[in-house]
Amino acid sequence: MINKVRYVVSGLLLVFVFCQTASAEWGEWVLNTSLEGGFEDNINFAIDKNGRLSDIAISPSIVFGRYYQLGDYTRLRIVADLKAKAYKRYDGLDSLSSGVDVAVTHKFGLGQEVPWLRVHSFAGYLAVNESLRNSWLYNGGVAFGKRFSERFDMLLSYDFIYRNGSNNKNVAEGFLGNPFDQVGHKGTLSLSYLLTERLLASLSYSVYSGDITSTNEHNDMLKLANFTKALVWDETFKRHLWTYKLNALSNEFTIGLSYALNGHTSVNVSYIRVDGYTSDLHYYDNLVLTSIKYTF
Amino acid sequence: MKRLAFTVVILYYLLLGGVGYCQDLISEVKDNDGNMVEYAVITAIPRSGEVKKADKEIISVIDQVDKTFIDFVTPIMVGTTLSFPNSDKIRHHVYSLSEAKKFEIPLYPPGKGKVNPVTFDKPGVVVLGCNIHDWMKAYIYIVETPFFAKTDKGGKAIIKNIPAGEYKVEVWHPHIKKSSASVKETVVISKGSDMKADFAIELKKVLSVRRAPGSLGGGVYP
Ligand SMILES: [Cu+2]
Repeated sequence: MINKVRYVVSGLLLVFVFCQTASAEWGEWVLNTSLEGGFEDNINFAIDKNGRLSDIAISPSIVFGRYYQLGDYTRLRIVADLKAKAYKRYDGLDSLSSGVDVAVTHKFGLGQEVPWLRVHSFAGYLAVNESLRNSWLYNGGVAFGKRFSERFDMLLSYDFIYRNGSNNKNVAEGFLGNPFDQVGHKGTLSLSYLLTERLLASLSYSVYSGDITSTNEHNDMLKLANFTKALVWDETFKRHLWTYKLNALSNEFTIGLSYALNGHTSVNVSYIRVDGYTSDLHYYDNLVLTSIKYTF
Repeated sequence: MKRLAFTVVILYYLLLGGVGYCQDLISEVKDNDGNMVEYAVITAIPRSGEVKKADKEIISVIDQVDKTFIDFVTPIMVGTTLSFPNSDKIRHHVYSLSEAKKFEIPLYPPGKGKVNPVTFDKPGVVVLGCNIHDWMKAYIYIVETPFFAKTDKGGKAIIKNIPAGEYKVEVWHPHIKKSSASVKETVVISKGSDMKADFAIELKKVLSVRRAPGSLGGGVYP
C-alpha cells in the first residue's frame, strides 16, 4: 500500500514538474549513454580478509530528458536515469535501477570561467535479483563548479543519500531485518585536467559518512550485536552469510583517464579505492572500471 | 577641384589597375614543422594608406551547426555587419568579452538568414563563445583593409583582383606566436601578374575545452 502511494505521489510530482516547465523556454535534449565494465575485489564489503569476494560486472546505462531554460543563466534539467548491472559470478546482485533527477543550474554570468551552482534531487527504485536488496533510492544535494582555464575544471558537491530498503522479516532475535534502510552524507571534490586535445585526466576524492552494509560469515551473534542492529540472512553470494548495517566513515579516491574519440564519445578507464572505517573495523575495496560513453 | 582630382585618380586605377587584369596575391602558410596552416588570415594594406570603406550590407555570417561555430575564423573589414543565424534545433547564447567588440546575443532560437546582426566598428580580434556550450569557440579578425583572405585546409589563401601597387602584407592566426615573422613590409603587385607572399609561422599549443564526456561523468558545465 505504501509503495502504491509512493508511485502515485512521484507520478503526480513528475506531471506537476512537466506542467510547470511547459511554459519555460525551449532548451535542448539530454541523451547520455554509457557501457561500463569492471572488476571489484570486495563486492560484499567484507571486513575479514578471507571473506572478500570479487567479481566482474557489466553495466549499460542511459540518461535521457531535456533542459528547460528558465532564464538567460538558469536552466532546469529533468532526466530519467536507467541503469542495468549484470555480474558474472554472483548474479543475485544483478540489478536494474530507474529514477528521475531534477536539477536547476545557475551560471553566475557570462564566460567559460564563470562559476555555476546546481541543486538537484533524485528519486528512483533499485530492483535486485536477490529481492531482499530491493530499495527506493533518494538523494539530493548541491554542486558548485568552476573552470579555471581551458584545461582545468573543478567540481565540489554535497549529497544527502537516503535508501529505503524492503523490510525483511527479522531473522535473529534482537535485530531488525532492514539493513538496507540507510542514510548518509557524501562530499566530493573532483578535478579534471586536459592533458592533450583528446586526453582528460581526472581526480576525485569523496568522504561518505553514514550507513553501509557489509556481508560476512558470522556465527557469534553476541559479538555481532556490538556492531549492528539490523541484519539479514543473505544467500546472494551462493553461501550462507550475514549482511548487516554498519555506521561508517569512508574515503573514496578515484583516478581516471578519458580519451575522446570525437566530440560526443569517449573511452574511459578509472581506478577507485574505497577505505571504510567503523568504530573498530576497517574494510577496503578496489575497483577498476572501463567505459565507453556517448553524449548527444 | 580636389574632388575632381580624386575622381580622376580613382578612374585611372579602375581603368588601368583593376578592370581586365585581375592579378591575385597568393599566399601559402606553413608552421615551423612544415605543416600547412588552416585558418590563417592574410591581409594586404596599401602603403599609400588609401582604403575604401566596407559595405554596410550584411556580407558575412557565423552559423552554428551541431553546437559548433561555422567558421572557426572569420576575417572581416572594419564596419562590416555580421549576422548570427542558428542552424541547430536548440538555443545558443553567443557572447564576446573582447575589447574590439563586447556583445551578447542571449539565448536565441533556431533561425536562418540575416538574423542577430552585429556591426564590428573597431579593428582587432574578437573571441566568440557560447554560454551554454563552453567548448564552442570562434574568432573574428577585424581588419582595416578590403584586401584579405583566409587559408584553406591546404594552407593557401588568395586575395583576388588586388589592384596594382605597394602593400604591407601580414599574416595572423588565432594561435600565432608573437615571435613569428608575420609581416612583409613591402610587396609590389604589378599589373597583370600574380604575386606570391608565403609565410612560415610559429603556433602556440592551444587546448580548447573538451566536449566529450569525461571519466567522472561531470566536467563540462552541465
Ligand atoms: Cu551554444
